[in-house]
Amino acid sequence: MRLAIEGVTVTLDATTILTDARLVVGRGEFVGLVGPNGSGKSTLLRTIYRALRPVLGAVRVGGDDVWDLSARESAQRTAVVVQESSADFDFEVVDVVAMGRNPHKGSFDRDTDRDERICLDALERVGMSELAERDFATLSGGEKQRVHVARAIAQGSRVLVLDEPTNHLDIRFQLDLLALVRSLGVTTIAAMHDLALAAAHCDRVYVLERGTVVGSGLPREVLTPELVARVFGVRLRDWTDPETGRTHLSFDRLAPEGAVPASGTGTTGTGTATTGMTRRMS
Amino acid sequence: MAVAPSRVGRTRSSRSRPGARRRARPLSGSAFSLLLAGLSAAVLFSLLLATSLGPVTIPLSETGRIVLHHVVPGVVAVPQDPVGDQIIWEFRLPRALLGAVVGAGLAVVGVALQAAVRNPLADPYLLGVSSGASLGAVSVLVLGSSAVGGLSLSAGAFAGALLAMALVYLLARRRSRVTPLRLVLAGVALAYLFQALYSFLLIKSDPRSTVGILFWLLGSLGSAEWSDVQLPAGALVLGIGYLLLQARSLNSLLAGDETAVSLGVNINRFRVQLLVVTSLLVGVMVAVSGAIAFVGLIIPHMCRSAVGSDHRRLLPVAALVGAAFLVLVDLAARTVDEPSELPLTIVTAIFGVPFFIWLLRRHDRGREAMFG
Repeated sequence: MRLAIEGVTVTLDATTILTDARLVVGRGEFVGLVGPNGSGKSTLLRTIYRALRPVLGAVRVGGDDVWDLSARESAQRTAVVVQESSADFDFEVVDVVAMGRNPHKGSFDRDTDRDERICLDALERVGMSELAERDFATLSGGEKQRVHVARAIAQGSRVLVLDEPTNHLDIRFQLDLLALVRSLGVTTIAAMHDLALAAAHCDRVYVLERGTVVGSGLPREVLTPELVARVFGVRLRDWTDPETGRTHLSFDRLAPEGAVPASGTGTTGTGTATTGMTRRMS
Repeated sequence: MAVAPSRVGRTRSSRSRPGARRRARPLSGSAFSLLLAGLSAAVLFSLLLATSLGPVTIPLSETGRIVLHHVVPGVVAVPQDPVGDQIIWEFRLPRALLGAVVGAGLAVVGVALQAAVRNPLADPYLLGVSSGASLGAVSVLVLGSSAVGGLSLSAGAFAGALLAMALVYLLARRRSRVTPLRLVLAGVALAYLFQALYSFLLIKSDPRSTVGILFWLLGSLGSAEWSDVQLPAGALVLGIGYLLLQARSLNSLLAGDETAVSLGVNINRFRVQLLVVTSLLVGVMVAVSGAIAFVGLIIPHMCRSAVGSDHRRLLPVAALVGAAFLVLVDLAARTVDEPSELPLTIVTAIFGVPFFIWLLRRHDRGREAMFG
């Protein structure tokens, strides 16, 4: 299912958050959305799942304007995993996953064996089968995140929206999660903080700066040292590991005028984010 | 350490115990039906007990016969003792039934409000609805019916509840959205205002009527008659029916606003609906029973820890437990200090406060903050 954001402008309290944003995610494509804090990434994502209504432009999922769909129809097409702390209520892990079935159920429908199987399969895909009956509130942040991914899988939607999906996850699970999402083969748009991770895992990236799309395309072509310096205010370098031949991105503070450039490459969190990159670089 | 996408899930779950995929608790099962049947029996038994016990104790068997005689007149013989018949049929049974209805109503309202504001501490008191109802009732009692547009006591309480909820809603609204935190803050603030206003009225009132008003403020079923039961019972059935049909949406709401929207819930419209339904229910209940505290807080939590937060289970269980609970509380209120009666909130608080403390301690033990 194709996702298209067509000239979307969003204003909140007379402040324009998003200006004429245009973005397309092809069927089965994994697109990353990068940009500094406050650049409008979450706002753009929120227009996709009808949490925000644009003042101009349209968001189309599967060809239809999402505001021409009912809330339920939209939920059948688009699943969302956001950073959101849920309340301190007694839900078992599998109950949370079962919420993913809600858009497919009317008020009088009961859960069927098929629903239960879908939920358990989804938990298995994120490697959480063992914790199916655990109290959701007792899970770690990373485990909760994986349960929400399972919930999105159980939702069975063809479009997936992820807002900072790898926050709270240790590096191993960051990589696992991105690999997992890619393996689902659904149309995916993910707002990501970690540029190296985005570069390594996304088919294409869009760069947002103060509510405007300022770059889009293949990660290597978009994330140039010039653009990264301008938008993020950091120095981008890539270098090739002589042993593995893989290319890494590393970031550094922009050196002030006349100052001696810092010697470290500041590779925190980038060293292992190379799997997809190698493929794309070779 | 490249991980092939297709193997991610399996690598991890291979560590799981064999049979870990089996769920001990099926999503819908006979065990739950059994629980509901048991709780229904408990409600019936508490009703029978409350009808039998009192200054004049009438044996359970005789009580049962008298009730059955009225329900199915042809089958069960006319009772021997006309006084016992009158005590049971005219006074105790309507009172016990009203207790069951109000208890069930307050419990489901608590469940719904806790989901609506996603706060486990929410109840009609926290959101100002009960205080609004009290202000309405005290205005009628102190100023007289004619001063407040000819409203009766019940109508005054009902109007107060609706007015309070409308004000809370308007205060909590921002950019045509209502957020849980703002609802709670607006509710708490207005509750204080209403309390100040009715306390003022109380102090200015004739000292001889103060005790009666205080009694009403703390909740009492003492004046229950058959004619008081019908409207709350009807409202209860409609209210529970509506909430059960929305049970999945209530579940989604607990996952957070963004997630609920993405699961197809129109959260703004749904929240407003919940506020309207719950304040109507509270208004109807408070009008006949006065303001009874803690039932809407304790019962939902007791039931959550037993059956979890899935509202398809939680709502019916909370209704039944709330019904039995308030029937027994009312029985205690009119028997422990015979021949005088205690206001219900005094009894519910004796159960309620220790539970509340336990709840807070449980929160302290490393669980998440209240506001999601």
